[in-house]
Amino acid sequence: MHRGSLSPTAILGGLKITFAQFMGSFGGRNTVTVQYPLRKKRMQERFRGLHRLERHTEGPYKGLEKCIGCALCAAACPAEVITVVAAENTDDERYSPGERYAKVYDMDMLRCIFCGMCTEACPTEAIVMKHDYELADDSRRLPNKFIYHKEDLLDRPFHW
Amino acid sequence: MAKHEIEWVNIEVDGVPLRVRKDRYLLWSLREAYYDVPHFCAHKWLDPPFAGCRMCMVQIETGGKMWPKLQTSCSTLPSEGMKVYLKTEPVVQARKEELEFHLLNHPLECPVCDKGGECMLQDQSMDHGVSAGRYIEEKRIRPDAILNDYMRMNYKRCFHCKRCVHYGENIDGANLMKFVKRGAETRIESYPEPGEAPRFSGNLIDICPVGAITARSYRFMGRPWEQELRHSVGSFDSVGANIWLCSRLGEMARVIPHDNDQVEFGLIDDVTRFAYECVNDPRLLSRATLRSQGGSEQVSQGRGESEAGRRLAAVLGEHGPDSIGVLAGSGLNSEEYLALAKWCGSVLGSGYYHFGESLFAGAAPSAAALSSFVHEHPGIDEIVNASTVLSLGCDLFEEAPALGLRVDIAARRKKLKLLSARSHRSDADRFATLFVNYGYHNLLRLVRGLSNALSGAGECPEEFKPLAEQLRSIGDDCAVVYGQEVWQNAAPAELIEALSALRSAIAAANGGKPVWLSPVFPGVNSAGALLLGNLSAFGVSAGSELKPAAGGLKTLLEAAASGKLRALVIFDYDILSTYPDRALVRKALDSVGLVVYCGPFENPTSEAAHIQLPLGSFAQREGTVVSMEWRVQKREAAVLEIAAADVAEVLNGLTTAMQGAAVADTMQGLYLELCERLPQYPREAFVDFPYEGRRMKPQLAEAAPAQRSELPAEFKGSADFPLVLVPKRFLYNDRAEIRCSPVFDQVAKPFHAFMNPQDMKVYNLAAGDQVELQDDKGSSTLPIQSASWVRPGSVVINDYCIAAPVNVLAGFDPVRVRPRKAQPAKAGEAALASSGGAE
Ligand code: SF4
Ligand code: SF4
Ligand code: SF4
Ligand code: FES
Repeated sequence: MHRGSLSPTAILGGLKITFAQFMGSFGGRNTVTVQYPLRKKRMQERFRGLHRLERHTEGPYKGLEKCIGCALCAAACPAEVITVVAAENTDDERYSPGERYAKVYDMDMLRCIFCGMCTEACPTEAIVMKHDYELADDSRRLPNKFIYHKEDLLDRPFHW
Repeated sequence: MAKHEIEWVNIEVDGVPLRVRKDRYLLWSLREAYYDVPHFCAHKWLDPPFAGCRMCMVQIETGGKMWPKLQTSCSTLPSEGMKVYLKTEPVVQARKEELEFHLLNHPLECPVCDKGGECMLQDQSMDHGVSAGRYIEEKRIRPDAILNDYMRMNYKRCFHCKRCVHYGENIDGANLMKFVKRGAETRIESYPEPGEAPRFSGNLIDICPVGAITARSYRFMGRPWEQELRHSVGSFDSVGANIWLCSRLGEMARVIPHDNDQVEFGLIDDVTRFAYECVNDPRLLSRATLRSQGGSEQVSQGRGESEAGRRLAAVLGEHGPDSIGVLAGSGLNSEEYLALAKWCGSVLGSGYYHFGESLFAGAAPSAAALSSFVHEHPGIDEIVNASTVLSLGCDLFEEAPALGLRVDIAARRKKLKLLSARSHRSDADRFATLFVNYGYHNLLRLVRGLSNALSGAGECPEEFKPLAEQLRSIGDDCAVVYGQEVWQNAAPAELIEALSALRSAIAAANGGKPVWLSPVFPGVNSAGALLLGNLSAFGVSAGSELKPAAGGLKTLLEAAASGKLRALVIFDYDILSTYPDRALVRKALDSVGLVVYCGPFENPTSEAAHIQLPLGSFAQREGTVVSMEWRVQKREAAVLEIAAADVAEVLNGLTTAMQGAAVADTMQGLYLELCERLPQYPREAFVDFPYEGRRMKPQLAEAAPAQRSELPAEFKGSADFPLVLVPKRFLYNDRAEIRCSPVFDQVAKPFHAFMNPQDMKVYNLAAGDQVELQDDKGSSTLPIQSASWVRPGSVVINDYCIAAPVNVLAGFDPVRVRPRKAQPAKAGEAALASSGGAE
């Protein structure tokens, strides 16, 4: 410990780490960056990325939407991202198991702070957050490409 | 007065002293003091309490001794020195267990339930319940059902609080809901009355604490917290019921009462509650229409306004001042009337304007009548708390439903003595101590007869004497309520004077006890129209901008019919269908060269106009209105996507087209100006107008009523025309808001002629027959229904029915008709013709 004075040894010691990291980035085992966008990093399990609306994958309701249009996600959302308009299922036109489904499900992704409250509020685990994080797009004018509609969110291809 | 004195007692709540009313059940006093006492079955409307849910249990100690069992606070009256415990172990435990029991069969479907977010069971489970259920048996399930035209029933959500049953038994009397079976098999059943239009059924939605009874039109419209609420006033009668206009995503979602205990007490009628649908309907006009011989053309509002302005300017240029007449219905706001009055004075230079319906048979209001309106009227509170209510010539259930129901409840509970006199019976008399049935158009005879009997001078027909006897003992005070039969009388001014005299006579016969006289006006802002349409009568100097009105509605129409007026501008007033003298209106509309109609919906009058401009509906224009008790309240505009013009904006557009420039008035500016000109108009912050409103008293010299005692001859059917025609105002009529709200499409509306079964037999008619009613002026054909509430010798028809307008027959003068069964072939033709027309 050299208190109050500059020691050449200490400086060299520090630079050694810098140099080692620098060299390591050319493929050594210490690499922390990836060749984005050629390669993509796998996110942590609990990473909160872009949302997706799920369907039932098994059981009697297989193929139906999980969302029941309850708008609890919209209520939980602190950033007022979500707009839900509910409507009634009929026997001919059935979207979800019960009587109610979301006719409109819009998310304004520019507002989203990715807090995950919506997924926590959802009673049916219909809205989930996947690991995608590439949200850039090229139009805020109409049609605003940052407003994701139900069609965009349902069956959305996702990475993990 | 003794009866209004409040007795207080001192109690202790969890060791904290509290002063409470002696005559109120503990629950309400505690809740008023912000103690959270859970409850389900108790409701402020329901008295006596049912005490069935056992949620409101408290521990009570008196005289140092704890009561052995928990008590239901909703049915326990306080006594001096009583100690109440809300947080002790047994109370908390009892609530938990009770709640678990209530939830046994309740489905866990809050996310899809329309009540979610404003549900008592939800709230109280959060506050007092346990988080997990122990019930593993199967829950009771039963498919949903349609309750009536407005509501659906979700049986499985019902947890048997019995509020709805009590509402039927103790409040509206329709008994829509009943319990069947007992014990574990108890279940709620609904018994809708087929063929009857419900009147107060919508209140069940509010009274059901859970989502068992929900509105069909509000189904899945959105969560309560997602809605934008705006305060408004029930716009279809003059009670001034406080409501919230709830909208979501730019559309109306629902209307709920705003619970003003001084006015409607949370009880609103079904038309007020459900007629909001017209605001979402495509029939709400957004474009102007130009009509000419060649056909009609839809143009933008701006184009329509400039066209109208241009043609009005041409009329004005050619014929000078006093060549254009202005008419407005009673649905406008006071500010809009002021804007109109100013426009008439400063732009048109015309004294030919009239606001509101014709209250005085087309004449200008008499000084005595105005004085009676201003000086003798009670508040709604005073009416429902009076010892005696005398309802004369008005069916409160149809004309002022919220007030009618409150009076009905008080009469049912024997808190007031209801005396009623009308030309026909009605549900509103079901708890009347005495009902007097007189022939239509004989109201003046009745009123004078009563005064004579009370003062002991002059004659009184025998059949009215029992009523006079009743009026000798009115208790502490008496409110005389009158309505439609006065407005439709041939001489309303004389009648109102006679009523004033009757008021003095009742007071004199009871040693000077307070007696009030309350007119039930036909429209939401009839009182405002009266005020603003007759500013000079209320002592407002005309100045350069305001011109005094040139006379009543009749003067105006006659001037138009005689060719003196060259143009008519009409604001939201279907005068062709509702003014008793249809021929005169027809002639007036045909004689003037230009009719501009400005209103939210189409109607027969607007179809006769050359230019039709759109206007915001009742939910889209903000401003203040004056109710029948001179309560000034504000109607805010609902938050909607479609923009709508108010009258000031339309006038602005017209004036700009006429003169090249206009003063753009805002509602707020107009309100301030109104307060300026009329100092009695309550001055508040316009943006933040107090919800409950402020009562006002316009300044007016008191006029003494003329005392006259001679009785007019009785009016009866004649040999040629044996039946007296009674045009009756019904809650369900052809007003645009009802016509254009799909929710009312299936409701059984009273567009029949109603006749006493006795008469039906005489004329050999069967229910459902088409009957032709003839008088010396014309005839009208409509289906007939037998109704025992109709007085023999008369026939009742809806006074606002577009398909069979009563004013084809009626005038202000009494009308007699001759019924004739229409030829079946003719009826078939008519049906064909009308269906062809609809296509
Ligand atoms: S992640 Fe958060 S901000 Fe984004 S939609 Fe969900 S609740 Fe709203
Ligand atoms: S995503 Fe979930 S919380 Fe949102 S509306 Fe659908 S079911 Fe309700
Ligand atoms: S329907 Fe509603 S108000 Fe009626 S008993 Fe059931 S829960 Fe109570
Ligand atoms: S509220 Fe008292 S028993 Fe139901």
